Amino acid sequence: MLNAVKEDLKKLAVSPSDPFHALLRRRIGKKATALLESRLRHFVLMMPGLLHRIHEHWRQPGASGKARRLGGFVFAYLYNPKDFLAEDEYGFFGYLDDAYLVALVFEKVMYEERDTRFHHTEKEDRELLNQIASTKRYVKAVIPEETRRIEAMTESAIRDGKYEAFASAFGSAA
Amino acid sequence: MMKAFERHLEALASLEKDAFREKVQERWGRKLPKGLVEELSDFIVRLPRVERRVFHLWTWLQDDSQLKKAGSHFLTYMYQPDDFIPETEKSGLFGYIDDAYIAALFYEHMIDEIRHQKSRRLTQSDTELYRRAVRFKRKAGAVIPEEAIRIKLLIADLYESREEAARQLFSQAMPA
Repeated sequence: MLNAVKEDLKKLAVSPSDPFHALLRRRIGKKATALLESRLRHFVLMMPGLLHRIHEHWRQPGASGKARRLGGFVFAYLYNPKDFLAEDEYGFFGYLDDAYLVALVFEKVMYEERDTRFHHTEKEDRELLNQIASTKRYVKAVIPEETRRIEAMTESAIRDGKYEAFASAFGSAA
Repeated sequence: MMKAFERHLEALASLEKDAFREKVQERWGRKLPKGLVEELSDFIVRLPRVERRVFHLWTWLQDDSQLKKAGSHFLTYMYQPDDFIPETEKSGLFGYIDDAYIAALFYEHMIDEIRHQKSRRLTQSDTELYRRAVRFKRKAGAVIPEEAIRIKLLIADLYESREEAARQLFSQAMPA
């Protein structure tokens, strides 16, 4: 599934009919530079790889309860047809919220694993963490309201450990 | 994200029809029955819909039920990069036949269980999807018989929440 998503996102990212640039302009006006656009596109394209890494950590026999809850939460969230930016309406831009959530969960899983056992962070994960750290603030600037809700929802997922507890957050999302 | 998955499968089904037919033919080894290739391809394209349906039914289930736990395993399993189909046959739509088989099998279990418990009235679309899943399972099972046996064992383990056994079975799957 992740390979299929990766292939589709790659195609969508270069589709001339995709309204990514127009939507970005609508959100932040003249601040929508080519560099920013390229960073955001890359951020979305990172998503399948991040999910793969989360899955790898999630399925380790020694994974902590918190890391497993976070993994379960993000896997379940992505099946939910409702999200903050509907892909049907926003095209590639509509994956920005999903990518932000996945990146946030990846960071938390990595910090959790680092804190709970003698864990050697792999080079691949370190690079991903660096890329997230350098782009996250731009995503927040473009979709501030959505990122705020996503952060609140993720905190609730960690606290409650149940999908239903935070699924209600979608009620006002779509 | 499921939209992206759906679009990718639809594109493969329309662009690589002949390649899919050839791979089914290689596995089948004799004259293909009329409609077999189309039925297999049609269900594989529906895979994201089956997953979404399982997810929808799963959100409704009681937290402590066996089916809920099995559903969690199934839903997370679908992110698994390892595959039962060998590398040489993995490209294109045929590479998803094992995932579709897993989904059909689990969805069938889930609907059977819900019917048995009489806990929920099934929708018309569930009844229709169930019929398709049963037919697909039978036909795909004949195309990939060895993989189908291993997948049945995996589903039994997921269903019984025998995570470690499922993990070991996965080690026999082909790495991505």
